[in-house]
Parts: sequence; structure tokens; C-alpha cells
Amino acid sequence: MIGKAFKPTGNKKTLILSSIGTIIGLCLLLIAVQVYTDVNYAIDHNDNDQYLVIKKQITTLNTIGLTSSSFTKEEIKDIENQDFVTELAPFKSGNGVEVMVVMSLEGGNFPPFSTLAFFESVPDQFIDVETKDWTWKEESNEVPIILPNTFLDAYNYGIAPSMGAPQASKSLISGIKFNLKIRGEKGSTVFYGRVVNFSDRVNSILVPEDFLNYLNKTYGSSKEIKPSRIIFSTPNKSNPAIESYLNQNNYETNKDQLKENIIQQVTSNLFYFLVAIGLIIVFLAALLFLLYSQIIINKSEKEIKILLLLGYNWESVTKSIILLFVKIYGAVTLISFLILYLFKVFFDQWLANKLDLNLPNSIATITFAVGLAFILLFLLINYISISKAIKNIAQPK
Amino acid sequence: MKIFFKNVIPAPLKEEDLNSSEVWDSELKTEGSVPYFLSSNSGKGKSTFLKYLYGLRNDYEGNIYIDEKDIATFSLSDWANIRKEKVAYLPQDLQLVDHLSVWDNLILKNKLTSHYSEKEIRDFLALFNITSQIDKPINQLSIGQQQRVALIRTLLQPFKLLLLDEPFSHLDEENIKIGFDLIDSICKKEDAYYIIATLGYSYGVESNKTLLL
Repeated sequence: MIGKAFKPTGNKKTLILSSIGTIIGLCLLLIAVQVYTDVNYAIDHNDNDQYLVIKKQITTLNTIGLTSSSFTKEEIKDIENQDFVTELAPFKSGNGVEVMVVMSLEGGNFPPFSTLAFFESVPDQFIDVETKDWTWKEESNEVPIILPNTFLDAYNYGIAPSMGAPQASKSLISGIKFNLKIRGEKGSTVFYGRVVNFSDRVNSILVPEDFLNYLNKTYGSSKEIKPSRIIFSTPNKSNPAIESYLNQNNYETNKDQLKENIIQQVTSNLFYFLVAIGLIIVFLAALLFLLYSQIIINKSEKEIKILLLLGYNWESVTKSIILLFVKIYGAVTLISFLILYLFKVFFDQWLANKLDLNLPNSIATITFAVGLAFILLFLLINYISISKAIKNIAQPK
Repeated sequence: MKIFFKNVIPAPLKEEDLNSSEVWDSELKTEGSVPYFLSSNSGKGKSTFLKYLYGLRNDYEGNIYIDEKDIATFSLSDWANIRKEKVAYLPQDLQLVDHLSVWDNLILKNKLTSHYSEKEIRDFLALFNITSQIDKPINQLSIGQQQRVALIRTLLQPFKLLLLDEPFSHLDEENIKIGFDLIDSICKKEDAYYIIATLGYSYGVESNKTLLL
């Protein structure tokens, strides 16, 4: 009944404008919070740990032998103790062993090919490709090898065209047996190598750890050599702490990974920018709503005076105006969450398709909390402003 | 309900000679049994007197007490309760909601107090011969009709004191008589009395007390 006493304000434009503003601002905020929560969830629940290979920067001092490019035990310990490292392994390499790869393929146009090479190994869990046959038993003369993808690319797009040789597919290469001529302090021998897979992650010629151990023990030197590369896993390789740690210690990693880092930083700055824009829009809209409430009060000041004259207290008059805002904000919240939900459906689908990430389908509790907190804050601000105006009207003059 | 005006001087009358006034700058006590007629030419503070008692204005020096309580200490909710249950007031400018119908204007008050049934309210309207106007917006009624609606609305609550500010200025004699009869009977029923501001007419009401301002 009290509501009936108020005059229609006829100022629908202000109302619609502030409602749309609030919806846009609130959507930006809610989407930002939801995406932030989802991305964090994905990082936390992603089994695919991210890997980084680090090495020391090579300078002229290394070349003339004044400093070493290998890691000391203390340095490895220190890296291992960093918060961002989940698991760490130094690369194991041949020790005083010379490897010569000799390839000759009969019955094809492939050029005979021989090159000096090296072997390294890392624990199996750091290798990014599935490997059948990734074992080596003593006395077996066939050795499985994992090559970096970049080697295959170098052959197919560099060596092969320039020599007029045919390009080689992965399966073709996997079928080839190489001669591996090994020569060390304690003698020499020949093994057959077979490429079993190609790795993106590890830029090295990998052999099973057992084989490398055998090689070093049987043909190599007994003096210890320190690792010059280290691979470690981390939940999030964009963690800025990693970059600053690497810079601090003059360690290097792949430039690609750094680039990715920069992109992620730009993205997250963009994200904060979105949140800021959302906040600004929301607060401008809140201001418009405040203005709107003042228009209502001004337009109906006579009626408000009558209500107070009749014996209605200022609380019930305030309540009847606030009720209007509860309805408006209710609709605005509902629409915003609907938009958020639609966004989330598409976003989830996109992530699942593009990145193979599966997120919880529901809107996060924190998103609900943020949305409700903003609406309650709006209501509170309106309540304070309206009740102040009504009390002012009610005051004896 | 006891009212006590103690050396009250309204701000607008500060410069005026108030020696002859029985109300301002003197001690005035009213107590229910007879009606009081506030009588003076305009500009002597009749409306102001009523507005002080209804908490609409407080621009005075001195003290005003309702039932021995200084009204300066009343909070906004105290005033709301007084207006709802203790003091009824018919302002000179009526204060009806223009865009609402006669009926809705009355219900707006009765909803708050739930003092009368809808049938009783219809009976009041019939008494004043305005039943046919019931659904019309207030602003389509004549001033005289509006005065009668406003009087009915004023009565739709429990009260011990009724404040009337020139309520019959636009009414014919017949309606004035109906009005006074209604006021008398309801005051009797509520065990209340009234203070009425007039320009000096006593409307034939006998046994009243006239207060000169």
C-alpha cells in the first residue's frame, strides 16, 4: 500500500542505463573471478606437471676454462629446495666416451651419414613420450634411442632438401638401425641404435639410464663428471619466482618458455585490467542508482511527507523504497549470473577442446560470494542514502 | 491527554508583542473534557501551535510537554507512534495523495492503524454524501469534498487528542454540523478531546474553551 503512494518517476532511462551498466560491470567481475578460479583449479588439478630444462650461461670465461658450466652438488641442492620445484633430475651424460653414429641405408637414396654424437639420460618420469621397449639389458647390442623433434626437423627441412635426399617420416626413421661406434679409455665396441620416439621436451639424444651406466663403467673414465643440465617439474612454469631465480643465478632455459611466460604475464595483467574496468563500471552504475533513488525521493517528497504525517515511521517508508531496489538488483544479479553461466559453458567447452582441460561445470562458490557481496553492498549503500534522506524529511523543522 | 506549554515563543513571533496571548510566552495547560478553540486573526501562530504538538515543527523557545514529557526529547519513532495511536491531526492543507482515489487515501491510513472495518469507513463517507466519489482521484474532487475526506482519514485511528486546523473553511453549514457531530461522537468513544484552530467562529459549539493567541 505504501508503494502505491509513490509517484511513478517516469525516469526509466536512468534506471535502464544503470541496470545495463551494473550487468556489464558485474559480468566482467564475475567472469574474471570465475576464470581466475578455474585456471587455478586447472593448474592445481592438472597431472601434467610442467617441465623446464635449465643450464648455465656459457660465457668467454667458460671457453677459456676459468668457470665451469656444470652444476655443483650445492647448487643442485639449492634448486631442489626452491618452492616451485616438485621433482628434479640432473642430466646424466657419457663420461669419457666418444660416440660415432654411422648410418647407411641400402636400397634408397639416403646419403651415407656419420656424425659425432653424445648420449644423455634422464629418469623415465621426465620423458614426455610413451616408450615401449625403453629398456636395455646388459649384453643386448641393440639400444633404444629418443631423439629431439628438432633433429628430425633439421634433417627433413635442412639437410634433405639441400642434399637432394628424400625426407624421412618418423616411422621410417624408427625402422632404421644405426651403427653406434663407441670408443673410450678402456676400449671400443659397436652397438646398434634404433630410434623409438621423438621428444619435444628434452633437447638431447637420450638412451636408457642403464645403458649409459654400463657404457661409462665399461668403456669410460672413472673420474666423476658434473651435470651441465638439469630438468625439473613444476606446477606452473609461468611462476614469476622461477624467472627471477634463474636470472639471479645466471641460469638459462629455453627462450620459447620465456616467451610463453611473457604472454602469460601480459594475459594476467589484462585480467587485472578487466577487473579494474569491471569495478569502475560497477561503481559508476552504483552511483547512477544512488542518483535514481534521490530522484524517486525528490519526486515523491510530498507523498513521503504525507506517509510520515499519517504515522508511518521512517523505517517502513525506507523499506518500501528499498524494496524497489531489491527487485531491480535481483533481476540484475539473475541476468548477470545467467550470462556468466552461458560464458562458462562455452569457456569450458573451449578449454576441453583446445587444451584438453576438464573443469568443474558449476559456478564456483567464490564467484557466487563475490556477486552476492556486491549486490549486498549496493543495497547497503542505497539503504544508508535513502534512510538518511527519509529521516531528514521526517525531522521536525 | 495533558498538554503543557511553558513560556513557549515561536521563532516567527519573537519580535511581536505577546502580552495579550493566552498561549505564547505564558503557561497553558489543556486537559480533556472540553474542546478548545484556538482563536485569532491569521498570522498569530494557530497552525504553528498544532504543528508543535504533532512534531512537525520545533522552532520555539521554552518547553512543551505531552503527558509530562518534554516533546523535545521525542525521537522520530516516538513521533510515529504518537501519530499512530495518540494524536490525530487534520492539517489545513489536507495533505491528501493527489494521484490516489478517495478510497485509497483512506485505506492508506487505516492500513496502518486497522482501526475501522471497510464497512465503517463506507458509513463515514455516506454520512458526508461522498460515497459516489469513492473511486475518483482526489484531485477531481472539490475542496469541500476533499476537506471531508481528509476529516474522515484523520479519524481512522485511536487518539486521545484531535488537532483540527480550520477544517471547515469550505463546508456549508449542514456539513459543518455533520462534521462536529461526528467529531463529538468519536471523541466520546475514544475518550479524547479536540483543539481546533478557527478564524474566530465557534460554529455554535457550546461549552468550549476559547484560547486567544
